[in-house]
Amino acid sequence: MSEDEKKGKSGFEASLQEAMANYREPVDPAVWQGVMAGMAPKQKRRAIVWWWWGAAASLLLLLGAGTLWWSQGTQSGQMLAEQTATEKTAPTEESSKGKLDRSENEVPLILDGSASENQVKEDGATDEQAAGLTASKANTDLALTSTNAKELTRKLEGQAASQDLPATATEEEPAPVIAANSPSNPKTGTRNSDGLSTDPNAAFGAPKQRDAGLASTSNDRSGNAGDLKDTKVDAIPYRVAFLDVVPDLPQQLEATDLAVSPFSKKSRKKVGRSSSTWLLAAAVGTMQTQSSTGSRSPSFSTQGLATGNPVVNSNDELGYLSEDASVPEEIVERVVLLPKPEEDYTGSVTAAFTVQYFLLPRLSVETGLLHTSHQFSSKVVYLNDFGERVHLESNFSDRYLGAPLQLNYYFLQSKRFNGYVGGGLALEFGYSRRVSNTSSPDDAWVVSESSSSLDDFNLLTPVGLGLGYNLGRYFSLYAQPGLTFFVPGFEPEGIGNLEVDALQPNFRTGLRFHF
Amino acid sequence: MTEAQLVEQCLKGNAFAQRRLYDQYSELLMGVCLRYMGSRELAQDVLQEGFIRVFRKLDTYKGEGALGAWIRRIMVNTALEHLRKLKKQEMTADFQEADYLIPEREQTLSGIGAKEIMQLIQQLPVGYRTVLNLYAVEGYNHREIAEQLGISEGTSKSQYSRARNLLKKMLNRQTISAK
Repeated sequence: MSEDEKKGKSGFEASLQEAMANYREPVDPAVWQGVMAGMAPKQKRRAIVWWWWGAAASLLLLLGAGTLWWSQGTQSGQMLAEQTATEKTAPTEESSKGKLDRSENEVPLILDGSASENQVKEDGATDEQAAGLTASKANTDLALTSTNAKELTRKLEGQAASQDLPATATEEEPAPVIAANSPSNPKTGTRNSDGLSTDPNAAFGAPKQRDAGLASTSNDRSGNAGDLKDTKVDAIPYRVAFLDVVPDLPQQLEATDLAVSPFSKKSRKKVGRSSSTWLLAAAVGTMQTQSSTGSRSPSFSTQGLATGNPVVNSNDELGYLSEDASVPEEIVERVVLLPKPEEDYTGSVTAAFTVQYFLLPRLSVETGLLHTSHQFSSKVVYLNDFGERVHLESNFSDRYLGAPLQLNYYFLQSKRFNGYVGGGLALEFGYSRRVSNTSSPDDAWVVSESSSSLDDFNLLTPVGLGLGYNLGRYFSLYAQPGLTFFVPGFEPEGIGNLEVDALQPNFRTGLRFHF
Repeated sequence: MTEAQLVEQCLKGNAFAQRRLYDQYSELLMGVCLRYMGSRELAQDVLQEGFIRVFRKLDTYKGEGALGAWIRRIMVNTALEHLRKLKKQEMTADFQEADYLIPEREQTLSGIGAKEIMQLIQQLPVGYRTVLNLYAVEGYNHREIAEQLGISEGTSKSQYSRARNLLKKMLNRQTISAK
């Protein structure tokens, strides 16, 4: 019995098999050329080309992002340089008088870098000098509405004139806390002569400036104090800010030169405690003077008047106190100090396009482009002018562009799905911050959104467990929940007084090209 | 040069050896591809891709069995992969022609040339043609065919039965017209 018969096949099948078994058909020469073209070496060359294109594109993007980041810093640096040049060349006649006869549009206040908190509390006169509180006519008319405030202004002017002091630092007290307490930030690396780092503050979407205020004039602080006043006038073309203080603080604090900086923790980190002290001194000095007139309770708390303190303007936009006064006038006109908000870092989400090259069947190296959004939230409750309890909730989304260098080990490689564990290093540059504010006075809800540039970069080591879905031979979609460890000193800028922990959750998803 | 030496040289990237292997099997395999694909263009595409796979996977050939059979298997699998890309409806189409099948008569294909048979096979619907090739020519059983094509064993049997009858009908017409 034949095999075909065993299978139940008839003679028909046998005949067919016999007829077709050795059937030959001529082949076009193009087939061999196609075979040669599709052979492995070509595939390998193509893969290598893809790899180089991917690496080159990533490098280009990284350089682009870096250049953008650097150019922002350079622009601010140029402004600072121009300002410094003005200081050096400007006549000092006016400032040598120690008078405060400024033009209508100038800001009257100079903060004193030499005054310490204790001095402020112990001696009212010194407080006033230390506060450096002065006022022009325009600002007096505009801002200091109370008689007591006007009296205070006149008193300060008289004191400053009689002592020929510009209401700034004295040579005998050169503010030692400045250098000692100024934190060093490895991310910026730029510091001026007395240890103050440059400060990339901006104000509610205003262009960033570096040390437009105190830090840029630090040399003058111990020398020609009059120059400092002039510099302040040039640098801060804004008027007096009214500060409403939340319930546990004095009811109304009229302060000058307290500007609002946009959600920047760096201003606090870089300038450090010294500037905070100045602001504190200014505020306390003002309050004590006011209390001496009997119009205000002197029960002032030191809480909440440091640089970086959260404030909200009349539009319910959240910001932080800073020495940088680059704030539009209409925004600064009325500012409310807030109690300490609940600030939190809520994680990050990354969208990615990456290129992956397999070094071994299960081990690959990956790079590409990452777009990461670091999320922060801030919640605070305060009373507005009408005594209404206002809930202000702000969500911050800091956007970064970056590139990873990551190793992935694949424990699952099926036709459709793949699974891996991966980790490596990533560098990312901030370019935008978007803020969404929601305030709820009673039943009314007000939502506002704003965006500003972000001058920051992070260095991090992400690790994650990924699951991918293969789209054909070369592409896959993947989701990679994991953890991110920020290299100390290179963590996200954060908001307010929030310190971002080094270890944070991250969710990454994206499209991957692999070969 | 023996087959083993040919394989060894091909694995070393010897282009002459590769060409020699190609020349040795290309026409035979073109016949295989033509039987499955139905058109010369598609058959050449399959042949090209099949040979690329042969050269890439040649290191997995351990010398067990004839090299020709190993290459033929790769080629058949490549052809089936192409066919799988066709809609499944085409593979299991309800061929109305089966209703007009003439009564089955035993036929040995004597007196009909291989080229004519090939042309008739190519005229079969793709589903019929595939099952007929796998069962009658390649020697697979219906269970194996069902696994290969992702269909049930019953479907394979019915497809083959219809394909066989249809081919016989076509052969009869061919014979009658030749007379």
